[in-house]
Amino acid sequence: MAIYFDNAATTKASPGVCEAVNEVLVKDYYNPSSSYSAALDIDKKLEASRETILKNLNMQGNLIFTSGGTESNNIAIFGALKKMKSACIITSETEHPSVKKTCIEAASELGRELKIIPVDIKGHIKTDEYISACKKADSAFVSIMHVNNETGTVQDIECLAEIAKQNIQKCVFHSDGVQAFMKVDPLNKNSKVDLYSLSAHKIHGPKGVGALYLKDKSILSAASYGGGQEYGLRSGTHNTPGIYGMAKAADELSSRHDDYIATMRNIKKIIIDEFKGSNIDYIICGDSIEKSAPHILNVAFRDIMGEVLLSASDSDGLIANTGSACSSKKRSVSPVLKAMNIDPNYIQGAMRLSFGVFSTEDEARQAAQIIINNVKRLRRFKRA
Amino acid sequence: MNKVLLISFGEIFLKGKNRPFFLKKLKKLIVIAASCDETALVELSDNRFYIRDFSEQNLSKIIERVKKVFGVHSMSVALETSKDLASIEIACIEAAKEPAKNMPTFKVDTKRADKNYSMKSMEISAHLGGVLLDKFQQLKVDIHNPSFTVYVEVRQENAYIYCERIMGPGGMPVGSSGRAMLLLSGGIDSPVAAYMLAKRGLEIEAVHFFSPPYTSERAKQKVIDLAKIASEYCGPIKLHIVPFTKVQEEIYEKCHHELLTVIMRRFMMKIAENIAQMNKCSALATGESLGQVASQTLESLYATNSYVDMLVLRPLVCLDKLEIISIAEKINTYETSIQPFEDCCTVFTPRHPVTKPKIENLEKNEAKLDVEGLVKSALEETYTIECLPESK
Repeated sequence: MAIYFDNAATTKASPGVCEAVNEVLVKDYYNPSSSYSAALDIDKKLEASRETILKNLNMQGNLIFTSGGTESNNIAIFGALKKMKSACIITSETEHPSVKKTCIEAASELGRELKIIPVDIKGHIKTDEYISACKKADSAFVSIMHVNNETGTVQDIECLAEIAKQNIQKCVFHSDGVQAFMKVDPLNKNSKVDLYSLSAHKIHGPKGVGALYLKDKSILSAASYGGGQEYGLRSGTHNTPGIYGMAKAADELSSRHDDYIATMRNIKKIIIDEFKGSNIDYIICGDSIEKSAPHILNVAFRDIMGEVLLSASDSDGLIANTGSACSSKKRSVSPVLKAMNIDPNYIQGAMRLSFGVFSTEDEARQAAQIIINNVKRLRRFKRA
Repeated sequence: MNKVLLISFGEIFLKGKNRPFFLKKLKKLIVIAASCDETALVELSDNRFYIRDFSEQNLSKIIERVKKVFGVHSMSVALETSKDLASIEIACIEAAKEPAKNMPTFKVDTKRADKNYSMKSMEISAHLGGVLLDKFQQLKVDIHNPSFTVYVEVRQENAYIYCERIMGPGGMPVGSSGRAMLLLSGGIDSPVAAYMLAKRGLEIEAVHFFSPPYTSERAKQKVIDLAKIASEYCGPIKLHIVPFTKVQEEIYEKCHHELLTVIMRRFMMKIAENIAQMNKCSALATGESLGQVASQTLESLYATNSYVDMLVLRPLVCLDKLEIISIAEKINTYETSIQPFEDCCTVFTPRHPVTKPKIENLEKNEAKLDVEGLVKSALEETYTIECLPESK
């Protein structure tokens, strides 16, 4: 059985989640928008799922279910901007493509000014430039991701939202929380964040379902029209198997949260300790292993091609990634690492290891050895 | 009156005593193309192939497949009728019915394979033109620039009437010129070379050099996909996959880095030659185009060529990249070729490759390698995949 260390790309669903999904498919399959009594029960379960997600988010407000993180981000960006007639867009250099590309598209389609804030070597947003951009704007839609999908760097979202709200007269603050949900401390109850995107399959839930938290329903214009589901903001029959599966996944992680986080942190530490003892030339891309998100470790090796290392490790039974799976088919240096100004001798040799509930410390030791052996072998061959 | 697909062949027509050999090959390929219809029958008589007894719903699929059979000059969906003039008249009216609805002018073009027919071609055309003018009163004759033409072929057994000629790919039937072993990379050029070699009647086998972990499974899959697409024209392709990592690493560690590519190419040719001999191929083939990259200068081509004894065919040698791309687009390999999975890792691509390699220098470097041993072990690990068109 291969070691699966690509949990930031997607995760294996837990048996409990599979059971929940299956139950809805074969037993509770009624359309929750229908009027018969069976449908009413389903509707109640749907609302309970919404409450479960909100509880795990530690937020009060509204939540709409979507098809996943990408849709949540798209709805947030276009939905808010359509209501903010003259707002500019402020985002960061290291956003996931579903935010960055959508912001670029929205700026061009709606004729808005776009300000992309650079990051420092650890991937944190450059505060001076961020404050200055906020001060210049009267009305702005701000989107900054909570945890970076390639490096695990955690942004101080509460502080960034606070700065935006203090300096911009009219501001909607969105954060892509796809990699943060159930992995790092949730937002404060009185957080200034208006919109927060989630995805189920990153937390051992099913694929094809996600959610968007909204502090206030009036922030967004409708993303789709039809039966008026999800407060009329996203019409379409509810994906009840997905939604129950998502709630179940959140509940399961919540019940073992401390162990889950501690194991993943320990896995990171084990891998780094093994590297330290092996005399291989590496750097950690992003924040220190204590400060970054527990489930992501991005290491780069000098004079190694990440793809080659990945492919060699794959043959030895270790599944990992070079960056985000959404863009890893494209051969180029990671724009995230480039934006962080990672040393050019290392940048091509980056490898992302990401962990989940099924990852073990024993796997961490084995994975580290696979990587060390391959780095030592491949280092003999660098471009002539 | 039957509907048949009437197929004419091009260059085979010029063949003398060995024409039956070529026609037998071509018939076999047309039978395969028509096999998408269970009841279709292929006949050869009187210098034409006839596909008959197909179900109407499969006709366009059969045509699409025959359009990819090298050796076919053109084809027409024709009405087959007995040769008496009255029957030909009825068939002409039937054939012209559709085009006459929205096209104003026509002419009749008659050919007689049966030179003993009671009327001459011109007389038949003139007579049938009159019949059609009577039937479709809005139509006019325009001999020089008609909106449509009613073709009449009076052959030995029957007459055939049709209004449209669909062009085939020309060339010679695959297999009629022998068999070649093509070096197939995942790039744009080599699949085009496969197409061009097959067009001149060569059966193709292919060899691909696979270097994990420096090239990925996806890069290998891309080559398999390309072979499958090319097989729509070339017929089934036996793809020999050669694990090449050890050879590349040895060259890297022991030879001058500026010579990496040329020495690697020489190994590829040597290994391909061995596989070609084992599989009874009479030539090697590559997608090289003169001057395209450092390993395709005249000197580099000589260096790789002189390392093998077998004839090396390079059908793209004088084509520009844009010309190659336009063929790749036509045969539908381009989109697959440009997928970003490289067939050679940049680790083994020197920044400053030699463009005019000297044989003695290459040999001096190769003397540091166990060439025979490396070739032997690569051959031992080679495995073969049969690539067929994806069923559509």
